[in-house]
Amino acid sequence: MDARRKRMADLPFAEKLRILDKLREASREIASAGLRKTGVSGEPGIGSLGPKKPEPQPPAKPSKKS
Amino acid sequence: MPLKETIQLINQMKADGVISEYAIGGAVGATFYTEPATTFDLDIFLLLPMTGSAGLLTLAPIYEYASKKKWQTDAEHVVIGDWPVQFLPAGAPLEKEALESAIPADVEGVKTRVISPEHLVALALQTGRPKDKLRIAQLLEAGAVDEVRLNTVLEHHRLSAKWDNLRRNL
Repeated sequence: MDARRKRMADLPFAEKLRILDKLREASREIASAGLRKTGVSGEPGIGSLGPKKPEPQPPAKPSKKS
Repeated sequence: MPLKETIQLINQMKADGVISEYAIGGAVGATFYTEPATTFDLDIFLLLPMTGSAGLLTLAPIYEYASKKKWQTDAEHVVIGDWPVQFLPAGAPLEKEALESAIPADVEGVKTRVISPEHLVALALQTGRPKDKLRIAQLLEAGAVDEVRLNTVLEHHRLSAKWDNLRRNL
């Protein structure tokens, strides 16, 4: 574990809970802006970003010359 | 409403006799020991008072209380404050033991209890979803887990083989 993560792990529980509040709020903002593709448990589902892209098609076979 | 106030409201539920002993598990519980990681709900393991002549365990009193408080419900969650809370009755021996051995915690004067890191690992191992495996890795990496205590829990609940299998793949 690197020093930054160790510092975060050593924070008081109350401070960590405040960070969870902020992380969740940020995630909700991302969701409400429609930037997350699918809903997450405990969050309102927001569906897909839009119509699914068509699957790439194999190149057409050259037509036989008669 | 911050998570701290959600915990306060859960303590009020306990004071009002709706729930008895409880402990925080899941990602929020793990955060007690590791760096914070995004989560969307709060898992509460609890003992429910027996109700009815058949002595059934039911979450109905929690939902009735939520309704009186005008708290919303969303699938398996009760939204308390801003946080969806999942109440998980401790029915299986591992869950009961996790609840009994939970560790007291203090959130700026708000008393609560958190499931021990060894029991969080055992519960995550039992559930076995990718996010549970990630939580196990985080708890191990944070040096939060006492291996002797963990092995005792795993042996007691016949999870040692599953643990060995996971360790080989971690």
